[in-house]
Amino acid sequence: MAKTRDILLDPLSDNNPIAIQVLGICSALAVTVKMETAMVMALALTTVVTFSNLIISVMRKAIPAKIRMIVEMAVIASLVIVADQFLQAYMFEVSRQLSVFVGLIITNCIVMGRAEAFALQNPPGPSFLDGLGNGLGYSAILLIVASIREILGSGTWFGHDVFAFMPESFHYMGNGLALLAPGAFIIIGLIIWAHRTIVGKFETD
Amino acid sequence: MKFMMNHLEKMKPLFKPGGKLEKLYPLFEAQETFMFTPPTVTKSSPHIRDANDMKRTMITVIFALIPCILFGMYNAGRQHNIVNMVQNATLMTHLLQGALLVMPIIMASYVAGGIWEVLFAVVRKHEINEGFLVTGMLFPLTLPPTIPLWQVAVGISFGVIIGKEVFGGTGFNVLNPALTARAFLFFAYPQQISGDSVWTSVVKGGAIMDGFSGATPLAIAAQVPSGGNVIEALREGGFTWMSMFGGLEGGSIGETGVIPILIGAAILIITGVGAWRIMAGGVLGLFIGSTLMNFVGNAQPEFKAFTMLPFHYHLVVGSFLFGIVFMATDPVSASATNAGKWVYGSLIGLLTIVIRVTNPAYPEGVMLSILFMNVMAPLIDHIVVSLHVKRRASYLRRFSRAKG
Amino acid sequence: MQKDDLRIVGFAAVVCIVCSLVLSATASMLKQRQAENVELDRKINVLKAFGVAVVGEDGKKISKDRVDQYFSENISEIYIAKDSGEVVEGMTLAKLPKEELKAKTAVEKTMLPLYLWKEDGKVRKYAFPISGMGLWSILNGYLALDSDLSTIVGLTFYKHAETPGLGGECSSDWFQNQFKGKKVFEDGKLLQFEVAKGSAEIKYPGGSDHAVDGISGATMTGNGINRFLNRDLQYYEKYFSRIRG
Repeated sequence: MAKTRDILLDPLSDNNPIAIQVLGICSALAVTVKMETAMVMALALTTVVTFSNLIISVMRKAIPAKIRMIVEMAVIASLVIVADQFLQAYMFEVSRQLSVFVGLIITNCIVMGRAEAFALQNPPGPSFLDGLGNGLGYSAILLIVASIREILGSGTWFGHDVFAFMPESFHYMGNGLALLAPGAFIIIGLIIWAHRTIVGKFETD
Repeated sequence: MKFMMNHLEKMKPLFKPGGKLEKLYPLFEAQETFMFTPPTVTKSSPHIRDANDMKRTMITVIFALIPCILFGMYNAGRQHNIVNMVQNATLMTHLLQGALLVMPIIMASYVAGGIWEVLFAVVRKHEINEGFLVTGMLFPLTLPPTIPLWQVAVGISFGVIIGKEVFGGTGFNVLNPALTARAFLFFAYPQQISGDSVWTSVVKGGAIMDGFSGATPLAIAAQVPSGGNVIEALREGGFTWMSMFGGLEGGSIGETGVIPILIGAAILIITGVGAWRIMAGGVLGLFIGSTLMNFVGNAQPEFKAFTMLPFHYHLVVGSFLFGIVFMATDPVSASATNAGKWVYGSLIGLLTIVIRVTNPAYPEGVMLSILFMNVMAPLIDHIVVSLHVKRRASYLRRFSRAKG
Repeated sequence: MQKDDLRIVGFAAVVCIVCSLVLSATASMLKQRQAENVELDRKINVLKAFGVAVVGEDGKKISKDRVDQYFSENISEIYIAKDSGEVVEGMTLAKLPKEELKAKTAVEKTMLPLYLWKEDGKVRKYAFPISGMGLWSILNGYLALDSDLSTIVGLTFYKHAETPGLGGECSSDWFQNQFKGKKVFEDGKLLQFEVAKGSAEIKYPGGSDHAVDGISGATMTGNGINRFLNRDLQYYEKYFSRIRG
């Protein structure tokens, strides 16, 4: 039983896709200006990676080795397009702000990476959990980055003024760098720094 | 002096490992080496191959900056007094007014940056690096005199932490920390560091001189529509080549006057602290860049009028000279080989022109071009060294063939 | 060997068919809703230019029914031929040729949309899209004029990618609100409307009816707005000059 728990919880911190494996950085830079977009992106990616793991794991014995990658791509791409269509229909504002980045989940290294590294070798149950865990690990970092960026950059969190408790005369001045992609890059770097110092994981040659 | 030395020697055991104040050793060390030649030598770059040490080197840079600081204060005060129509202003009142504007900025930079330096020194158990004396002084000189003090503190904190400490501290930093700090403010709080209204301090609600716009020469030059004459536009804005050489105009605190920068450059070159190859290379690059742009402007008149600005104007508008003399020559982030210094310097000059003329959003390119070349410096050195090795190897082959 | 190849082709075919079935099912199921979203978004931006509060005081967005009510009771949309300034009879958004929909700015269009705000059978306000290059990106917005065809009722920019804090201020309230009440037409001719460099006071002491303050540090965005605002105004002037009494 302990193993099942590890599959789910390991990617949250000890083997986090962003902080440890440094995958999926491009979308983490692009969609984290606001909590709202980051949240939707996190949900979309978690859904896609969970179900792609599940589906590929179910088919793993039937997939011919020669077209393995292409089949994986087809499954992932279909899931992503479905997710994108749903966003356009039910969360139009957010989906417009996310623009191409939902579509780009197809190329997100985490999804393909989990399919290749885990789902192809493991039964559906653990694969599902592995996908969920990795999605949540990605989401955790995404939401932390987005919190820092939105609070620093706009003084808001989910659109609510976080400095509202300050006196009237105080006007928070948004930090423009936090709104730009390089700012996200620096913040992710700092998070990785802090995370590795706490977890005590360092790359060794 | 003798007394001081004895006193310090007496205190030393307190700070040594096992002593009561062991953790504060960096503070003690800073005191000791500041006043006396320390008993230790540096183990990592910047290495000085001379009867010199890092602390003295950095003090030399501070000395070289003094003319710029004084002139910057005088100029900031003079601009303030003129624009706000202060009556009976003299040289002294200009200077005092300027000191009132500039000193708080320098203090904020030293205090905020100093706190981080001490913190990192204590946590990492290394010495306080004297390089910060220079960083903490260079940074305020690149700012407009109206910059809010909290932004100075935030900026220098970013410069020290992200520009230097995350890479492992002085000697390991890829980027010049002072410029990193400025770039941070430039992108984080653009309203306070760009536009026309930030370069001269204006009393809120007070009477203002007629026709005052606050635009810097670079801003004017960048706005001239195609087909216009930039030199003419500058003259209409009140800027001639001579006046820009003199530098009594709005701008970042330390960069407007050419003469004080040249004095600083002379001090750096004579003492061997600043690399003359980088400075010469920079001016050469600027010359090549502006001449090329002149050709482009001649061939394509519908392109920007800015392309037609001649070299000697490019030399005095904006902060190029300040950047190439004080920022580009930072021994840690610049190229270390002699040939590399030429390449590094001239590419800074060339890039400065490219950014100035072709990028509409960033009228001053010198900051970005130095930071960019900081990143490239190790590559340049690597190429220079490997070319050298190749050449020596081919000598060796020829020599052995001739022999055989 | 051959059997193996057949199996691969068969498997690929099955995967393709299943995927495409799933995709086309979702797409056709959601198509209607998506189209409604796009439509609603466009309508809300038009309403904003007309000066309707699209976000209530409680922070809630205007409801779809309310938007549709405005559009059925007050607003009608017509198309104008760009070259002649004549109304294109019977043209609607749905009938517009594909090339027109692809056009990013009025320069590439041949038919220009115009929204009329009617009360008691009379046209009170006019609104039309304005768009063009700023510094980094194309700015999209709407401009609304009063029935005198000169006074600005409102201006909004709803889409752009200018520098946050500088050019990005073009979508902020302080910038857009200054346009209200300014004039674009006086003494029988179109004025050159101007987003000034810095404060408009410097160039026009005592204020001006056809200039607003620029965004400090974003002169290029302001210049861009000047360029396309005046250009688009000229396109629509062909029609306005016909109906001006």
